[in-house]
Amino acid sequence: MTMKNTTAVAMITVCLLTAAVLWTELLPGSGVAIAKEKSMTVRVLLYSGNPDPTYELADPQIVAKLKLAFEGSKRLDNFSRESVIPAQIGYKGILVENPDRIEGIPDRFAVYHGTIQVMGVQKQFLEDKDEAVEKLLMDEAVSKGVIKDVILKRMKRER
Amino acid sequence: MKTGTFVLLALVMVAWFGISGCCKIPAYSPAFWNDNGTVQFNNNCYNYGNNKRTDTFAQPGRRSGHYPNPMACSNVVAAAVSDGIEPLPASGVCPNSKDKIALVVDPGTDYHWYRLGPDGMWSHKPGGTQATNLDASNNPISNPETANRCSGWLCYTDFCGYFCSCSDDVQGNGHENIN
Repeated sequence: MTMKNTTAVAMITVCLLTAAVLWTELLPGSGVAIAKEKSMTVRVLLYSGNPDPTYELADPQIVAKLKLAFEGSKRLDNFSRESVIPAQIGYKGILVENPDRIEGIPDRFAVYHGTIQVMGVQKQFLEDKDEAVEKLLMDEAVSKGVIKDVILKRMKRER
Repeated sequence: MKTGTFVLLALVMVAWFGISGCCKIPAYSPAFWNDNGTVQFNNNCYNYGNNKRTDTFAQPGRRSGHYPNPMACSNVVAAAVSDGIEPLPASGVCPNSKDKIALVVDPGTDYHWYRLGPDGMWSHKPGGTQATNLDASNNPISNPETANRCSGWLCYTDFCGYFCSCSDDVQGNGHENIN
């Protein structure tokens, strides 16, 4: 095989490989796993009967702020209740599931009125200083439009 | 009694209990529901009111395709009745040892159910939180019509009425076909 032929074969191989990669990336259901953006599921514990407002959180800026808040949060060893989520009607906190295990964020936690409860085997209570985590997650819920207008009006009235 | 008649009677009884079960009134025993996990977060007031764990956050009418819209007493009542929940008869007593349950609505927003225990007191499970026998003022609930039903931006002002549910004394094992 001449030098020219070898180069041509190599170039064709490269082109075919590139086309194959693009094909699997662009074609849904191609059967090849496509790298998915890591995300968390955020559920605003609000309703008694209806499904709660829920959204996916993947925004790197918000995730970075969350990580920062967790890094600086103080452990509360004397938290007196079994759970931060109150047994009451209406708003009762925010539940976050982190199935993709985004680093620096617990696998599952709840936050309500200044306290974070890390759930599961790592169970512990942390201070949510200035309610920063709760506000961040609630603001994101509002900006994503998952909270009904009627609830937003009531929230504004109480603030 | 002839053997044939006896067998027929036995089959009828088996079929009856197999379909409807034997209704019993469940005690207030919140530990089953308050597991801080699958049961607590996936069963709501409709599950708790009917004492039936489905892990689906059951909705009135979902099984029968009559989802209440808009959110108002009449629509939730119709949806629940389509699931087989019976309105309380004029006597004020649920027949066949069925459990008395109560429905309230925050108009346009949400609904909520309470259930009566054998001790004459009421309890409820507000969505994904824990089951409790206290109202929004932290008072035991002797009457859901007068209980405080407002907190955290929700206010279930409309009392829709009482209903009867075929429940069980085992927590989570109610016999109504909700989903």
